[in-house]
Amino acid sequence: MVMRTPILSTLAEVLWAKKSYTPCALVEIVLSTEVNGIDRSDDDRRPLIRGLVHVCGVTSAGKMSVVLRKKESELKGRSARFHKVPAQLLLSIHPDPSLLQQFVPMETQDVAIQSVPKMSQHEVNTETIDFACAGMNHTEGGWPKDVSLTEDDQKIRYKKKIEKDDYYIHAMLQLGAKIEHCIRQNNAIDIYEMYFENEESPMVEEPEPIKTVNVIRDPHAGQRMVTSLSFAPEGGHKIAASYSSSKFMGLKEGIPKESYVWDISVSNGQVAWWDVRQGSRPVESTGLEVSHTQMVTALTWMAHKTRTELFSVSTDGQVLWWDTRKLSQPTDSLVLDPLREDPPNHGRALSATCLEYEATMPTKLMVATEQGQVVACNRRARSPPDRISMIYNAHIAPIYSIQRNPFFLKNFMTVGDWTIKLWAEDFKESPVLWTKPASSQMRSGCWSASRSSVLFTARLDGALDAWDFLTSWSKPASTCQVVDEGLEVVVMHEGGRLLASGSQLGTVSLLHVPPRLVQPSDRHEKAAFTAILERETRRERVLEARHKEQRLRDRVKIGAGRGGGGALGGPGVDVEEDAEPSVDPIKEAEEEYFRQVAELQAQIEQEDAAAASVAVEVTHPPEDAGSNPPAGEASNSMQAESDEGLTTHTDVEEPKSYSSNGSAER
Amino acid sequence: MDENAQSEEHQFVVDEVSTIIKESIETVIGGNAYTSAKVNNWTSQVVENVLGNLSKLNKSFKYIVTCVIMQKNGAGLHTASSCYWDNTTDGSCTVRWENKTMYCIVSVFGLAI
Repeated sequence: MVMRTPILSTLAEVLWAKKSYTPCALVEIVLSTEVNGIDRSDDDRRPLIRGLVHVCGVTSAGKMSVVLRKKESELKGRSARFHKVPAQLLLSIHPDPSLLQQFVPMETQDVAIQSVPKMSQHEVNTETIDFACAGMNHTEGGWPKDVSLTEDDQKIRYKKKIEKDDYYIHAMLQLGAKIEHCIRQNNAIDIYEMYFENEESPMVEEPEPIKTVNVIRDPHAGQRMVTSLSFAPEGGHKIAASYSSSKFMGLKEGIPKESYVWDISVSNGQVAWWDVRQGSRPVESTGLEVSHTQMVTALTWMAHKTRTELFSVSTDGQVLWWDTRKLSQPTDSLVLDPLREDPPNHGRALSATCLEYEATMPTKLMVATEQGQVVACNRRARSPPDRISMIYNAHIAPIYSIQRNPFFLKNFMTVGDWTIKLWAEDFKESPVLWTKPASSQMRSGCWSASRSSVLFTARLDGALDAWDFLTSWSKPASTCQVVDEGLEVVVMHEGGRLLASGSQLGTVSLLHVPPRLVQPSDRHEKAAFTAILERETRRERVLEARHKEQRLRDRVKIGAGRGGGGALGGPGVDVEEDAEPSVDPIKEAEEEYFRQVAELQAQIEQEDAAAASVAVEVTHPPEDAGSNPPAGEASNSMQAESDEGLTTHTDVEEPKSYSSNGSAER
Repeated sequence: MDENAQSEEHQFVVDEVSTIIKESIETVIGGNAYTSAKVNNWTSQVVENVLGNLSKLNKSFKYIVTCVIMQKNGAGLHTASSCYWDNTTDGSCTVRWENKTMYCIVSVFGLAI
């Protein structure tokens, strides 16, 4: 079908009008060359026509007809015009509290369930049974009917009759063994028995323990031990500690020799002094050739106007006096020769470990030695031997501390081996007071500065004991474990409230002393302690006098060819007596011992006999009772005394217990 | 007239759609009280019902149907939409229906092919 231009234009119209919405329709379009006519149509239609023109353009050379067959949807060419539509609110429901009120919140509910089996308990009373206690005392009985208990004659007669019987002895023999066995059963109750003796008492907190306030560690910890400590005088807040190694040849190159604040101890016997104002090097030191030959163990400044004099002691047994203005030569010297010979024997000299010097007694000094002796010296004496005024045999091991009681200058204390001993200055034979041996060695001790009866000791197991001799000298008033290693030094601050202790590893601990060990418990404390000291001194004197007398008598006896064995209550065989160079002391001791045993036996027999006679013959014994028992008693008391004499020197367990005996003796 | 009918066929008639929606909701939910266990069922049923009815109109449209059911407990709800489409042919219809215990909001977007 061929269409002319006008037809074409109508066709275009139709197409446009239809807007290609006709579904699935096929439109046959025939185009001719007169496309121009269409070109002239309005702009709106152009896009639709153009598609056609494009096809036609190829064939625009001449008149021709083309038949196109296409789907209408492809042909329509409608271009969608998209727009952005502004956002529109679809829905808005506002909150409505009134609606909420229709709801009631559901309360949470607690429901308890359990999954254990049900149990029930019932109580039932059973019939009670009454118990009754009944006792019966059987004192005497078994007599035949015709013997009345009240008539002693009848009983005695009956007894005698039985005793004459032949079977009596056999019966007694048989029964005897049985009855003896029964009698030997010890039914006695020891009313002095201590229950729970071995029980550890539950740790009772001390009301006021000693507290560690501060611990100052040596910057070179573990290499050196603290050898000496000193508080600055006049309430100062400084403490000086000196450190050293006491091992032989222990001062190696690497070990620092610094001390803090100041330090006067050199291991090779020199004495050097430092001045804190002048820096950290020693100001001056003594010449090697004139110094001590061994280690200096203690040193003290003399009480002198110039404050330049000091003296030192050493394990070489010398005391040397120095003047800091001239340290090249000692100003004076003294050799601690126990036999006081002139010239002194250096080989026998006692090695000094510590010294005591009291500023108020400028000429006197006391030196404690490694041999356990205390040597009292007087510098003013004319000849060197006289300078040694007294020697006290104090300890069995080196003495580590000696100090006069700051309140009673004539009493001093020594600390050595395992004990503390208190001495009176003018009585050298034995200590006035001493403590039980402690579990660990004591290394240092010092008196309290504020209480006369209190002293502090440092032990090798790191514990510090505070003793109050007014309350007890069998155990310390307070104990404080300061460090784990051994303690070497303990010193007291002037005020009495602070203690400083130094350990083997160089740790200095500052301790606070509880008020009860600082303030006197009452006003009479001093008087009480004086009384104790005086009483004990007197007792020791009495005992000593007795011993002397005894020794004298023994010597006389020995001189008389051991004649007098008959003396009643053989005197105590003292350890001291044994030690004396008498004739064959062992044999003598044995004899003494056996004699004592024999006497004891005799005594016991006598007593038994007396007792038996008393028991059996009640009416009879006036003469026996008159003569025998007093003799027994007398020998008893003598025995007790001699025993006491023995224990005083060997047994240190309970010094308190025989102080009462001693007074009885007096 | 013919042309009018044709334009009708190619256009998104809001009234028609909104009646379809309302009917669907009425049939599916009606006077039921809000029950949380059933809401899932209801929403899917409403959506399917509406879509089925729309397809029966036999128009050349793509449809998007959404349904929101909210319990009436005083809480607020606000929704909005925005489209980028041919304004002449495409359209949307949102119906808010409520009974004593719930709101049901259904939106239909019709997009001409």
